[in-house]
Formats: sequence, structure tokens, C-alpha cells
Amino acid sequence: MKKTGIVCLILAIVIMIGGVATSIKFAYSSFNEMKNITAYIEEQKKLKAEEGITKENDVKIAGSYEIKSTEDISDAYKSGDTSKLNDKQKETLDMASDILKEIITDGMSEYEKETAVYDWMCKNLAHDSNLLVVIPASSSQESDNPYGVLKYHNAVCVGYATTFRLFMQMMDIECMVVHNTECYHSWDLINLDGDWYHTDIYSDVGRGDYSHFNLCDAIRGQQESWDTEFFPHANSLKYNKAMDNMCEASSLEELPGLYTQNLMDKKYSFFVKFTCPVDEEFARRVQAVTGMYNSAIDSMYIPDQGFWLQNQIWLPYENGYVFWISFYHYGEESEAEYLTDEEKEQLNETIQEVINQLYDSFYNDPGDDDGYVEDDSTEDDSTEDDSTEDDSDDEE
Amino acid sequence: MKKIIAAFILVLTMAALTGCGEKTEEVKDVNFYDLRTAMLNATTKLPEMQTASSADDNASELLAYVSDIDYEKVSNFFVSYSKEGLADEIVVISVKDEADAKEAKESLQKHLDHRKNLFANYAVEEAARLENAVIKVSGRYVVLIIADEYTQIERAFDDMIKEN
Repeated sequence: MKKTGIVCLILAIVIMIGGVATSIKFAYSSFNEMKNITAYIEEQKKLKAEEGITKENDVKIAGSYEIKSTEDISDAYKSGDTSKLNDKQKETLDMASDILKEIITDGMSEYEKETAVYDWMCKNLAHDSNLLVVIPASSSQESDNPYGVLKYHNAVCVGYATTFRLFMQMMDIECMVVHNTECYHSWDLINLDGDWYHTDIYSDVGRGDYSHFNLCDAIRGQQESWDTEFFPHANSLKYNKAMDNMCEASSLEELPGLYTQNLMDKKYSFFVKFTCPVDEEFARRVQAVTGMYNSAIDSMYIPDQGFWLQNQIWLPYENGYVFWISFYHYGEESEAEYLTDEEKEQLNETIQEVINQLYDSFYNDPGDDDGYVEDDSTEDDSTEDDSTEDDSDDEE
Repeated sequence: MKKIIAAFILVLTMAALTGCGEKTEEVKDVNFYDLRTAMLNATTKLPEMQTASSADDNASELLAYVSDIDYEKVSNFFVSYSKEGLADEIVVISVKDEADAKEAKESLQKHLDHRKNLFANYAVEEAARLENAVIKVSGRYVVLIIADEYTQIERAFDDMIKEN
């Protein structure tokens, strides 16, 4: 009996020790697992944060085109040492140097140098139509870097932005490539006399009308959104090309004439400074008049071309406000390819004439200014005789 | 008795083998060249179109432009798209297993969203045309249609699939 008791006791002790040991082991392994999980979470957090960090380079735009640094090339241009460049970079440097030799002259200011490069790019480059093709031709991959852009003169937005930045960096002008929040578009930020400006050559190519040249954040912000915490702020209007086209107005009535004169002078972006007091209500009325003007020119017939209001915004200027306005002017290839030039000219005159007649019929008819034909039957309960009478009156 | 049992087992084995044989028979697609021709000819309003398909040597790379589905799951496909980069596009993918049709549909939706973003940024005047895009699943077939006369093209697709 005693023996049985001792055996039971030993067994109980063994079971207890086993239980305690298992608990310790479990707690220890749980602690280790916890440590692993915490490390894993930390690692994931770090990766997530890195993913969200905005970068200037090594960013893919539209899922296909990568913004890459070209500082090796601009550094080689400045130092004269091309030993670290590969053949493709050397060729890019040669092409870019030749262009700068052609367009930059001694004594030019940084602003003049920028303008010269902008003008050259707008005139000599064209959009790579492959950007929107579902399965692009293989050669189109080169349109996102200065090598392909300068060689084939075709570019997507990344190509314009990186080529412009290469030119600026070769001339020691501070410049960055910006991309929008959705990573579908890119352009440049350039530093002139300590202030930054947005320049988007892609949007001006073919026209070169400076409507996307040296813009401030407020104007650019109407068109695009980007990481304003990462990229420097652009608040100056000094080198905005529209400053050259500053005009004054003293009333709302002056605006249509002023807009027309600017369009006739091919000044598509300009500032309007009002000599009369500007309060919130007046600002809204200016925008209303501008909207009316836009409707009128938008529906106006001009053979092969047209205008529409691109942007309008009030901006703080000196001690008050200034109104910035930008019209988009487009010229279209005539679709009438089967007509001779002489026929086109004659037909344009005829079309203009009949469009004017149509215009007059709507705006000079005193009885019906809304363009709708009224249904007499619902107007009143007039008898059949009355309506017959009305008809005969009309005929008279 | 043994002979009867042996014969019975033989009959059962034959029946089982025949049954298995029917089950493993490969699913047959509609002829994709005919399908593509019928859909492209359903309207005269398409611009000049270019086509990539499962008949091409680098078919898996070509499909990757419109769908990220594993190519192993795909039986046949074609992508017809505007040469000039207009919005017009027709994609048909047939998957080997009907259960993968959902994945193929999601991949085409992703592609459509990408195209919408591209056009919103670079060709606003075309962007509105993508709003009428059709994506639908019909058995093992998934179709994407971006075209002005999309209903006619969709009907041509339905007719061809029904005939099959």
C-alpha cells in the first residue's frame, strides 16, 4: 500500500514538473513568436513607408515610362570628362551639346536660356503617338529618355521632362522632374533667381504659346496634383510669360474687347490688372463675363482652327489681385483633303456667310430669344378658328 | 461463376474508362479567327485596327499588355486595337477553366481603368468614349469592347458563342 502511495506521489511530482516545464516552454515559444511577429510588422511598416515616399527619379509613369537621372551626362558636359559615360550616354551628350551650341549665345540670362530651350523643343519635337496604342511598337520605349527624344524627335511626357532637365542641368540651372499623384504625367520645376516655376513642354509642343511655361503652384494646381511636401513650392509670377502680356481694365465692359485684341495679337495667356476696386463680387462677375466670352468663341466658326478657355484664376499680386487667363488655340488639319485650295477658300466664305445667317436668325429675332418653338396648343384653349387666323396672319 | 464475375468486372471497367474518357476530353473554343472577324465586321465605325492573338509567337507577352492573368490558364485570346492610339479596342479571352473567368474579367477591368487614366491625362476628347466600355463574362469567355457601336459588336460575339 505504502509502495503504491510512493509511486503515486512520484507520478504526481513528475506530472507537475512536466506541466510546469511545458508551460514555460510554451510561454517561451510564444514570446519568441511574438518577437518574430513584432519584427515582421515593423518590417512591413518600413516597406510600406518606403513605398509611399515620393522620389524624383526611378518612378514609372503610366506604368511604362521611367524617370531616370541624367546627371552623369550633364556632369560630364560641365567637367569635360566623358570617361565614365557609356556609348549611349556619349551620343546623348553629343546631340544635346550640338543643340545648345546652336541656340545658346553668350550673355544670355538663365531665363533667356530656358526660353531658348523651350522654343527649340516645342518646335522640333512631336508627341509619340505610341503612348496611347494598346500594344506599342517596341521602338517607342526610347521616347521617355533624352537619347531617344534627341535621336528620333518623338517623346512622351517623361521624355520631354527628362530632356528639358538635362539641358538645364548642363547649363547649371537647377531643375527637377515632377510627377503627378496618380503617376500618369510628368513635367519640370525650374529654379530662376531663387524661385521655382512649373514648365510642362509636353502640353505646349506644336504650339509653343507659353501657356504651360513658368507657372506658379496656384495655376498648376488647377491642372494637376502632386506631392507638394516633397517638391519645392513655386509662388513667384516674375518669369511667367503672361507677365509680358499684362493689360489693364477698369470695367467689366472692357473685357470682351481686351480678350479679342489679345487673341488677335496671338497672346493666348495674359494677366488683367483692374484699376477699379476688386472685391469678391466683382471677381465673380469677371469670371462670369469670361465664361460668356468663352461660350461665344467656342461656338464661333473659324476654318481649321478654334479657341477655348483653358484656365482662369485670381492671384495675389502687389497689394491687390490680378486675373490670369489662358486660352487654348488649336489649328486643325483640314479634313477636306479632296478639295483644291481655291475650292476650300470659296467654300469657307460660303460657310461663314450661312453661319452668320444662322447666328442672326437666333439673335435678331425679337419674338423668340430662347430658340425653342412654342407649342400653341398648350399655351391656351384657343379655338381652331383662332389658330387658322394666326396662320393667315403669319402668311401675310 | 468465376467467368460471370470476371465478365461483370470487365464491363464495369470499360464503363468507367469510357466515363473517364468523356470527362477528360478538352473543351473546344469557338474558332477565334472567325470570332474576331465577325466582331470587327459588325460595325463600319471602327478605325484601322491591329490585332495580336494567341496565334502569335510571343502570345504570352502580348496578352500581358491587357491582362495580368497567368497565361497557363488561358486557352485563346485576341486583342484588336486602334493603330493610331484611339480608344477603340476589342479583347476576348477564353480560359481553360470557367472558374478562372472571374480573374480574367478583373484583369480586363484593371486594364480599362489604366486606359481611362491614360486618356484622362493625354486625350480628354477620347476619354468619354471609354465610359461606354462593355466587360462581360459568357461561360469561359471574357470580352471587353470599347467602340461607338459596341452593342452591334457585343451581339456578334453573343451569336458566335451561341453557335458554338
